[in-house]
Amino acid sequence: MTSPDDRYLWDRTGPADPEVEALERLLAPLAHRAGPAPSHATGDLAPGAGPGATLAAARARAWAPFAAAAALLLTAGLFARRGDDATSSRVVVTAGTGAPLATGAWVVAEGGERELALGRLGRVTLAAGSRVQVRRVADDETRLYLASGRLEARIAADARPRFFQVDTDAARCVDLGCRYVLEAGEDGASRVRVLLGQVAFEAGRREVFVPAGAECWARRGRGPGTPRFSSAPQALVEALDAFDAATADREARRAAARRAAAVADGREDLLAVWHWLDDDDDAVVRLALDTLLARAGPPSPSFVRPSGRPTAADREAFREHLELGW
Amino acid sequence: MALRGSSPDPAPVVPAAPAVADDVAGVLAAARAGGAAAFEALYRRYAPVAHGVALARVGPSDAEDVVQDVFVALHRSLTTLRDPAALASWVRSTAAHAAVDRLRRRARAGRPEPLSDVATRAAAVGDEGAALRARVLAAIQGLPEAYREALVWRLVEGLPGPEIAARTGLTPGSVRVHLHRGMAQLRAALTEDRPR
Repeated sequence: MTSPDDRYLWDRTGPADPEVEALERLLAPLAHRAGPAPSHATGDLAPGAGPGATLAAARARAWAPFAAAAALLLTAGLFARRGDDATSSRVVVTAGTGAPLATGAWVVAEGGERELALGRLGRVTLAAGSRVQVRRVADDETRLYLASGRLEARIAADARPRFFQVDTDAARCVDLGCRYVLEAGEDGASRVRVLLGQVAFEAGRREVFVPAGAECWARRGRGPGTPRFSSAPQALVEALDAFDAATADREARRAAARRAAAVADGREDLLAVWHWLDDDDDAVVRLALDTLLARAGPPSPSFVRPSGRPTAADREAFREHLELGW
Repeated sequence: MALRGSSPDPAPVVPAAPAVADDVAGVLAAARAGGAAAFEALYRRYAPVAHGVALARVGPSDAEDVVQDVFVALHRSLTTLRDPAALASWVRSTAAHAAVDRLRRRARAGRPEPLSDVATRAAAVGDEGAALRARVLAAIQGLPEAYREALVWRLVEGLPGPEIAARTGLTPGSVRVHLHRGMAQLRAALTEDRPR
């Protein structure tokens, strides 16, 4: 039963209910932030995979529909103009006043957050005290250097994968259509946490990919470690940290891998194990294959366990098999 | 319940009813065919529904992420979602599952519940409006599921009861009862919660 007095609560007719009005005013800031709605534009998310195409680009192709939708949703409230070909526009990096920043310019977030705009393709929020240098500004690639501090990058879906990159002393963080937080410490270590889409974390020949919900550390001179989901159990985190730290001690590294494999449970935990498929140590590769087959099954009914090291196609098959759980 | 002194934020604005209200099937078909405007219409209509379901269970930052999860999932499921009548229910259940997943992840990671964290931090810096907002939301989240969702849609998202019914697929009668009973329980909860 309802009473006539609930008319304002029901549809805002009838005498105003002061308590309901007060609650509306109090709670309104929590409402869904309605921005421009996302569109279907899957766009040209990945350039053609020629002979020189990177693994990240190939991954981006596989993730394209998801990344497009995710990043469109993410950036729905960020970009007033939509529907035009943003990638063809000239990119300028601006901070605060809107004056373009030249290559080599430094931005220091003194006294509070600062925001950089990457044309219409993205925004970067610098946490207070962070120091950033503009290293390259171009339509095909815009790159910053995070010397220290923390930034949050939000990149539009219609930006090309790899368009936005951030160097740290430990690794290069390559956006593949997403939102992420990157931190760089004074000790040269850096960490990326991905909120939407995915990021490639690279140093030299080593490249890892970090999907939404996951994070990865990189150390100066060692590059990226093993990515793991932020919700990973402590035992797995400790084993992976030991694995990443044992660069010079092969037995310790294998032991840590076995500990990690033993506690890796759900598909999220297998993100780390999947990265071992192209490890330099064949014993770690075999462990990864055993673990993935045992925990997730073969990627397809016709999959044949490779007698040697998995090929790139094998790794991609496993990734596609696992990513639904990521 | 004493709410005087709370934030003088403007009254919530009811989002304009999109054309999709009259032709869910047509808009869903257009979105399936790749129509950006159609997907946008679906987003405008159902994002507040998903957000309300999420906010009835998780904190504000997680709720926004849940909305994104839902529409990423919707984008991927357009080809399999054949029954337009089931879309509202699909959005609600997907949002509920996504919110519960986030709660589980937080529990597994041992991270603090974000809502209480917000309230604590807001109180620490003297932001009484934010602290009160967090307390009221916590009180709503303590109500039975049907009541808390209805109250969030009405008080947070700013949707009048008939619009809630239209967008969620629930009957107007049940929405009205849920609002009425939920408001009564919320008043009681806030009275008990009031500092003495």
